[in-house]
Amino acid sequence: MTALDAYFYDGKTSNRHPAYLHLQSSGELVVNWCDTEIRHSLESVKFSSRLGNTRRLVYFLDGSQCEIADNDALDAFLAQHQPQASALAHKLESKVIYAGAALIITAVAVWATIAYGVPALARSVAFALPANTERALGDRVMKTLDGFLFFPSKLPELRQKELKAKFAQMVVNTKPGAGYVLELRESKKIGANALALPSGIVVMTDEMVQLAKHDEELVAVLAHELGHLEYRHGLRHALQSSGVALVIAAVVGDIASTSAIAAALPTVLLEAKYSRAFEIEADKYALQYLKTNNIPLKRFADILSRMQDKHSDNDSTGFLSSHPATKERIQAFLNDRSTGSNAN
Amino acid sequence: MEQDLSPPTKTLPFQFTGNAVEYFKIWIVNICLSIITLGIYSAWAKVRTKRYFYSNTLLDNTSFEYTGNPVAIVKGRLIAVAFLGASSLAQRLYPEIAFVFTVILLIAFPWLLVRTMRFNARNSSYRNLRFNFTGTAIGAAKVYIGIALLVGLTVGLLFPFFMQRTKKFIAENSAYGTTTFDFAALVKSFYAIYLKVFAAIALLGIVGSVIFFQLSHSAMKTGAAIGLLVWIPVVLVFVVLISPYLRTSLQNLVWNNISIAGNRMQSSLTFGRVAWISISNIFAVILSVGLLAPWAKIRWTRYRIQNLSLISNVALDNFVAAELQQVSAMGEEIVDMFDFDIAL
Ligand SMILES: [Zn+2]
Repeated sequence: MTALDAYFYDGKTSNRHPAYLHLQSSGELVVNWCDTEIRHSLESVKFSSRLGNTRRLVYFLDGSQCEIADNDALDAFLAQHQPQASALAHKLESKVIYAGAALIITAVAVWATIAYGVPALARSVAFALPANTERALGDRVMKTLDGFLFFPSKLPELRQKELKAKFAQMVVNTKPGAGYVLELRESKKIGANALALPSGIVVMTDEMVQLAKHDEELVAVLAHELGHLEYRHGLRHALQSSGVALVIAAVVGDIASTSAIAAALPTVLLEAKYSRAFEIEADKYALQYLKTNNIPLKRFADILSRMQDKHSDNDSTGFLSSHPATKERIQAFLNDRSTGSNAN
Repeated sequence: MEQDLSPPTKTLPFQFTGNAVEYFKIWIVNICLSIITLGIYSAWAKVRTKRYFYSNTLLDNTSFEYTGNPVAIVKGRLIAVAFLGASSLAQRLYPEIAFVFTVILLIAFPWLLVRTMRFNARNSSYRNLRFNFTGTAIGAAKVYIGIALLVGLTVGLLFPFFMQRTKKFIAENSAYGTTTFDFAALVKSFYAIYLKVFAAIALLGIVGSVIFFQLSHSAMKTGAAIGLLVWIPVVLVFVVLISPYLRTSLQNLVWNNISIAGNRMQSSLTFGRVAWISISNIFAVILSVGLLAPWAKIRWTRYRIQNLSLISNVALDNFVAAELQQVSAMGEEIVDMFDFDIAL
């Protein structure tokens, strides 16, 4: 029989001895080192499982060990004498085809988690949290924006009061204590727009009020923003972003390592997908609102298409943030026939 | 006179034999199996990963060995999950007693830390001789809670001192067989490193705020745009200069001051290489959506290990096994029962 080159370690000291391992036809493993020869029955010996091309260890009952560098020789040696039970992991890890399959399964699982799992989880967490969780966050945003983007409204006092009263009436049926308010601001930078802040403030620009040809159009826009608030999109967005970062970090490596953080960066690409889903949800809320209050659905379609004409080259982060989908959104309102009677 | 008779010193370099393609397959199969088994396999995956890196690290042509038992890791995680579950349940049902869990955690923290270090040390071996960790929970509490509190009280002034004490605690309580390690790095060397870092961060902060102030008063851009304009370069400087500097100098300082039985460690990382490897790793991982994370890990580990050597003036043959390896199976079992790895 061929002999395997090895190092022998006694387990009591750090001494190292060059050694040879032989397997005899009787099923005995013979270890030769220095002038010593020790025989072990094969059943009493354990072998470390193969892992890449790392050195293998042979464990003897008395705590001594042999280290073997030639993996293939050891595997051939073992294949003859011992059916291998623990090599499954190595089989999977060594074949390109299995690695490829693992890659596909992982990619699908990660994608499914990010596309469906995280949003669903964020949704249930957001709805379980008390209503004022995101208040501080929203207040801070409002303060920052007020210096940069927003300036006091130039609309006549009376008009402002009228719009605010309209909004107050809209929120009568929302859950108590939510504290939704409408703020009007002038903003040349973002133009005709409206946005909902997590703290329950809906901001509508003067430009938006001027763009509308009918107050019901403004009601439609406000209903959409109310949808963002009622579905707690601000908080859910924050939860989803951190959830995705966590998933990626868990998959790619230890949470603290830089590579995990680096890998989480491409998730900004997901933002667009997530915010589109929120827009659709808010549109549905608006649609429902308009139907219940007997407001023609085409009001929303009208203001949307007028906004799109105005903003065609503006990529602001508010009402029209999901640009490519605007046409579809308009269509959704024009096509809705589920309640024929109001859509006159 | 006897000193002169000691054998001439010999430099034994550490070698790293892992390769990226091999590790990629192990990594992706590990992730995939962890997903399929809903996380249970991740304990086995962790052990295989550690084994891969230990076994590919050679000193004087003998590999290191990791012998951690995945079941112990599962046990540690179950305890952690049970504790978290109990504490969050208490938070909901009996908020007035929830603080008890915080107190328990604070008291248990040094003990858990020591247990984990011990688990890792005792499951690492070289030449069939285990490492050991003999630090006590009280010793850990003094450093990780006592000095950490002082750091807080002095607004960070004692942070370098804290870092020195943690490294000292770990090194001086670690042993190879029965021989403990010595740690000679002085507090002032840590201060020298951190003073440079603090100065750089302060400078960065000042320059950043000055530019921010200037830009925001020219009122050309919106707040978000200015923020990006200023803070992206600041983060880049941190990633390109400060973080690699800290990595290089701390690693060299700690390793160059560790010795065992007159054998000294030597680490010769250079700032340029560390900076290049960490930056290119970050970009590679981002651009490959995480797929190059195994390559990045192998590359960094190889550089780190290949620049480590042992300056030895005695043969490595005479280290002796610790008593605990001869204790009865009963003793082993009791120790095992309380040994677990809390690191997730
Ligand atoms: Zn919207």
